[in-house]
Order: sequence, then structure tokens, then C-alpha cells
Amino acid sequence: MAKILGIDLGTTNSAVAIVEGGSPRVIENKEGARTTPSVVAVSKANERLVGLLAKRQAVTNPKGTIFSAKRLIGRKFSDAEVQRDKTLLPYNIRESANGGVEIEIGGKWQRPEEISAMVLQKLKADAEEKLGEKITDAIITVPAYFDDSQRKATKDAGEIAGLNVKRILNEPTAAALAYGFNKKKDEKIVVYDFGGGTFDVSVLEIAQDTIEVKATGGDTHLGGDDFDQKIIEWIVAEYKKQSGIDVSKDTMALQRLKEAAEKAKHELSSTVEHEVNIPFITSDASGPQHLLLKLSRAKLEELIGSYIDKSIEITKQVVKDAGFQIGDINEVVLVGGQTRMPAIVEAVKKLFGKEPNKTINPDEVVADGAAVQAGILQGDVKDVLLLDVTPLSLGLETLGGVFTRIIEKNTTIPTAKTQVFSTAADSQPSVEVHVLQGEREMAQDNKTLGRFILDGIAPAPRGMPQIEVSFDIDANGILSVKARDKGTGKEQSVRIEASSGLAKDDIERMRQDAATHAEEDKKKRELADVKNLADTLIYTTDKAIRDSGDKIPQNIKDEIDAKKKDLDVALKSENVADIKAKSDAYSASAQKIGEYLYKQDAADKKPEEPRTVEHEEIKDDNKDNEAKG
Amino acid sequence: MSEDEDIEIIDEDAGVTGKITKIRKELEVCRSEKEEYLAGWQRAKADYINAGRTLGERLEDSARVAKTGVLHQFLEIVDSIEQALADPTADSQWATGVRLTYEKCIAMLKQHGVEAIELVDKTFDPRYHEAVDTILADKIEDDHKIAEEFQKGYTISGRVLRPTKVKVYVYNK
Repeated sequence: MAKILGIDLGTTNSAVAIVEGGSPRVIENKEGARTTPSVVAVSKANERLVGLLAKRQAVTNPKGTIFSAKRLIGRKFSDAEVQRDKTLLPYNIRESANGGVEIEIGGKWQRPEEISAMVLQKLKADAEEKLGEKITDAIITVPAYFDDSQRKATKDAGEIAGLNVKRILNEPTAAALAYGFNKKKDEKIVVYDFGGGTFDVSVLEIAQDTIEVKATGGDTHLGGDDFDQKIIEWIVAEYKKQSGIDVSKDTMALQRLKEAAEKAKHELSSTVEHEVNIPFITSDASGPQHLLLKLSRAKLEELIGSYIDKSIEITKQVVKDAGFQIGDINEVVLVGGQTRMPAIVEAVKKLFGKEPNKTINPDEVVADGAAVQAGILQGDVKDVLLLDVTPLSLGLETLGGVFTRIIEKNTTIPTAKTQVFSTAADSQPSVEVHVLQGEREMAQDNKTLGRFILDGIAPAPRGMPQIEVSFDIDANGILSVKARDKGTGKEQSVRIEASSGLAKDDIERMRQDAATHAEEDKKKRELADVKNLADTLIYTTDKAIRDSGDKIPQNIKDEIDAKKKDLDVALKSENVADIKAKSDAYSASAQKIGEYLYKQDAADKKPEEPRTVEHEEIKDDNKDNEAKG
Repeated sequence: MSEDEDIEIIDEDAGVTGKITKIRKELEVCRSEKEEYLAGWQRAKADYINAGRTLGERLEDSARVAKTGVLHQFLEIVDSIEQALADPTADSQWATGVRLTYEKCIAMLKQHGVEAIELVDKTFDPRYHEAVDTILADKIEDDHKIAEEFQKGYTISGRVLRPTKVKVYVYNK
């Protein structure tokens, strides 16, 4: 089936997304950007420009550059909103024959939907080029407060652009869909949308399969652009105080200031202080002048605090209008680039007493949600194909009681993984496969799902036999574990039905447990690892001494023996640092075997591999992968 | 539903016809289910193959985006050096050092495919230039010509990394 585009047709910027493999993906435009300015222009040469190019030439062509057509779409000319915007917009608008609005562009009068259609056409063309296929269907989002006429005009814009508009979707609903909240039952959600030029807040209620908008509110002329302006004004004033120079009339300096203000705003989202540094901002009789100011997050918040307070007051009112108490709200979703500011996140968090949802890019969340809706319509997300994940990691117990994960938690099933293990002792006749589930580092802290013994392993030195262990979970969550001795071909298996049969609470408890014990588990795991390493070291050294017989001088053997005794004592103490230190000392002595043999070896003999290399190899192979004997 | 649950004991009196009709119906359900599952399976497999194919492109894309971001920020430093060089009061020995540093920067940018946008015929072109101010032109021929360059623009591998910020003549008579 052809793809359906999800389109966030914004006042300032627009974005487009599609669903691929069940999840939404924003599509970049021809210029390589993920959002496109909702700006259209007709140049003097009668050339139509849309998006970034239209924006770049705006100051040369203020009357022929149309932005914010969304503020006018589907409205009556007599609307108070239109009358207010008329005084702010640099281009000409007039009343149409049917009482609507007409905009003058390139010497022609056009309806706002025709202007929006030009933006949509570019979005469609760029998406087609990027995807390499023709797009005919789309879902377009609109603010929740849009009335029938505004919705109809937006749909018309889509049709003019050659799109079959499958649905007009509310922006807050799209944001909720992007977070998958449509799957929740009886939840109340607040969508707080602080964009570049507008602020919207909506209260949604999710019932059986429907998302209902209970109330909306906002300020159509409050946005991030106001923030930038405040920052620029502050820098100009501070600089004037500091140097006596007024840069507010210097176009070049103002340009650099504008960039610096935007940068400061972004930086202060992650740092508490930002240095506004513009060298050579201007020059006077005394030579070049530089601008260097410190802007703290606290200062920024003070500058724009009133805007945030205003948004919070509006939010409280909208929740009240919806007939709810603040405490009734289950989830809060943040939309719009300004919500990246920690001060906004904090204010929202303080109001609702819970962490707002902000993991999805706030500039893209509406387009993502439109694509999710498109996915539902085109049947990409069918129940029969919904795949589950393993809620907890699955693995087995290895040397030292360590839990070795084979399938990590949150892996999509069905899936299969295989890993090769070996024995922990010479001539070990069997291995026990202890299958576990959980997130703790040590086997004993996790849940046992089953165990079996694979015997009949041919006598061989430790580390030599290859036991292939495979975990396979089918779509129903049934786990089959099989162990096979690659040498003899003998195999043994177990089938565990209840691998995903845990109650949600149990899973949560086990995850919590792992988080609570993380530090202590890390220590236990580290102890097991150093013990295993010491054990391997002793084994290989003993083997080297056995193999080389009397070639090794007694004094080296004695030294190694003494160090081994120290290491044995340390191993009993269970002190990680001590075991490490004694292991290192033992290893240093053990290396003397190689050193000595290497020196003694005649030139015609092939030199023995240096000990350190063998040591390293064993460390890598055997640390985690030895099945418990 | 498991296979066992599908099997139902049919009343012997219902006759063979009833049995056949029931089995046919079941077969139909099975067929449509089979088709649905097969379609789902094919779609999933196709998605996987397609995702694998586009992954390479996307990785390249993200590497390009990351590089572009860093180079874009670097341009700010190059701007400052340019401003420093424009200072006529600077000591000449010192200025030579700064110029050499500047040349190193430009060479490094070039190595990464970044080149300055040259103002060839001085006609404003929004594909490469961003107008930040205007000035009235006396002659119509000057309309949309660039009056002044505020900030140098750059391309990366032919794509605009940063447009040249300019003042543009506008003829309004």
C-alpha cells in the first residue's frame, strides 16, 4: 500500500513524517532540514519560492513574502483575530467576496488555503524525492481550537496541493499518539505546546479507542521569538552599560547578536552559565571593540519568567475549563522547541507534580503522531503483527555464580541467540545449564527457570570442549534452551513455558530490585571476575610448570609458589583490591617462566609464546564464558 | 486458538452436507487467515530488508549532519579571525601570524569540502544569500543587487552550509 504522509502544518515551521516498520520517521526536505519554514514568496521575476529560500529573501520583498497564513486560514475577515493580525502582517490582506480573507502575492489575490497549499506542495515533492515514490494520501494536523471552517480550509489546502487528505487530526491528539497514549485507558492528558510564535495548551481524555479534546486555550502571540527578542535587548543594554557603545542600529552587529542570543538560549538549556562572546563586534576611534558578557540561566529565567508564568496560568485555567483538578491529570506532554528550556520543564513539573513526557523531539512530535495515525489507517500496525518483547534478560549461570545474559531485556521476540561455552576443570565430564531470568549480576539473585545437565563430555583440558548453548523464544514467549557438545554431538534441552508468564508487578519488582542493588551487585560481580581471573592464572601457570618439567630453575618455582600462597590467602579474604594486587604479583613471577625459557631456548628451536599473550587470551575467553562445572 | 479447540464434535444427525459446509467455512477462514499472515510476514521481511538497505544511507546522513554541525560552528571562529584581519591598526608582524592561522582554517575547511560562496555578479539569489537588510536603489538596474556583504557564506560539497548574509538594493520607484 502507498505511504500516507503525516504532516504538521505549522504557523512558523512544518514537518513531515511517515511510518516505517511500525515507527514514525521524520523526512528531511530537499535542503536537508527536518523542518521547513511555512513561508511562501513570489519574487519580482515572478518565481515562486517556498520554505527556506522564501524566508531568506523576506526583507527584500516584505509585501510578497507570506508567512503565518495559518493565522488566517478559514477565518472571516471580520474576525477580531484577523483584524489584529492585519496590523502586524507586512503583506496586504482584504475581505473576499464571501467574507473570507484574501492575501496579495505576486500581484494576485489568493486565499490562505492556496498559500498553505504551496507549502504542502513543497513538502509533498520533497518527501516524494526522498522516498523515491509517489505520495497521494496525507494526514494534516491542526490546532485543537480550529473550527469547522478552518479545518475545511486546511483540508482544501491539501486537496489543492494534490493530496487526498485522509484525516484532519488535532495537534495535541497527534502528540499523544506519538507517545502511544491511545493505548491507555481512561487517562487525562495535558499537551503543553510552546512554539516559536504561539502557545497552545489542551486537555485530552482517553476513553475506549477515542481521544477527546476536553478543553483548549493559549495565546496566539506568545512564543520563543519573544524570548529571543528579550535576550537581544538585554545584551544590547548590558553592552551599552559596559562600553558605552549602542549596537542596536548596527545591522551587522545585530545579526551576530541574534545568532548569539539563539545560541545562548540553547546552551543555557544544558549549562547554568553561558559566555556571550562576540569579538570585533564593532570598532571606534580607540580601535576594535569586543563583546564579552556572562548570561546565567537564572538571569535568562528572570528575563522570560513572566512569559512562563503566563503560560502556567493559562494551563491552570484550561484544566479547570475541562472540568478537572490538577491532580486528575495522568500525563503531561511537551511540544514545541521552547519546551527544551529547563525553566519551562520545571514550571510544568511543579504545576502537575510529575515529570512531563519529553523524550520525543518536541519539534517533531506532532508530525510523528500524524504518521502514527497514518500507520493505523494504512494498516501497518495490525494486532496480529504486534510483536512482544522479553521483559527481563535471559541467561545462564557461569563460573563463580555469575549471571551471563544471552538474550537482553526488551529484545523483540521471536528471537534466537547462540553462544559457545567451555568447561571449568580438566576432564570435566558434564556441565550444568542453569537457565535464569532477571537483571541482577549474580545468578543466585535471579529467578531460576530451569536446569539440566549435559554429560558425556570427552575428557579434555579445561577450556577445550566447545559447548554450544542456544536460547530460542517463540512468538508466544516459550523459551527453548539447548546445549550441544560440538565434540561429541551430544545434546540436551529444556522447554520453559513460563518465561514471559510473569505478572507486570513481578517484572517491575525485579527491575526495581536490580536498580536498588546495582552498586552491591557490581561489587559482587567484580569479585567473581577477579576470582575467575586468578583461578585461570593459577591454572595456566601450574600447567606451564607441569609441561616444562625440570627446565625451570627451582628458585623461580619457589618464588611462584610463595606468591601463589599469598594469592590463595587473598582469595579467601574476598578483598577485590587484595586479590588484584596478589594476582599481579603472582603473574609477574609466573612470567619469569617464559622469560627464562625464552632466554634458554636454542636459536634453532621455535620460541615459546610469551606468557602475557596466553594470559590475555584466556582472560578474554574464559572470564564469562565457562559453564559452571 | 489452538488446534484442539478448533475440533468440534458434530452431531451425527446433522448429516454429511452440514459437515461439509462447516468444514468449507472453516477452510475459508483458514485461507483468509493464511493470506493475512503471509502478507504480514512478507511485509515484515520486506521492511527488514528495506531497513537494512536504507540503514547505510541513514548512517552516512547522520555522519554528514554531525560533521556539518561542527563545521558550521567553526565558521563563527573563522568570522572572528576575518574581523581581526580587517583591523587596520594591527601590528603587521602580528597580522601576518593571524593571516597564516586564517589560511590554515580555510585549508582545513576546504579539506572537508567547505568553500566560500563568491559574489559573482552581485545579483541576490536566495539559494546562496540571506537578505538581512535593504537599501533603496536609485536605478532600476540595481534592483536586487547586493549592496554589502555582512557575513561570508559557505557551501559544503555543493550544498549551502551557511548563506552569505547581505544587504540588498531595492528599487521602489
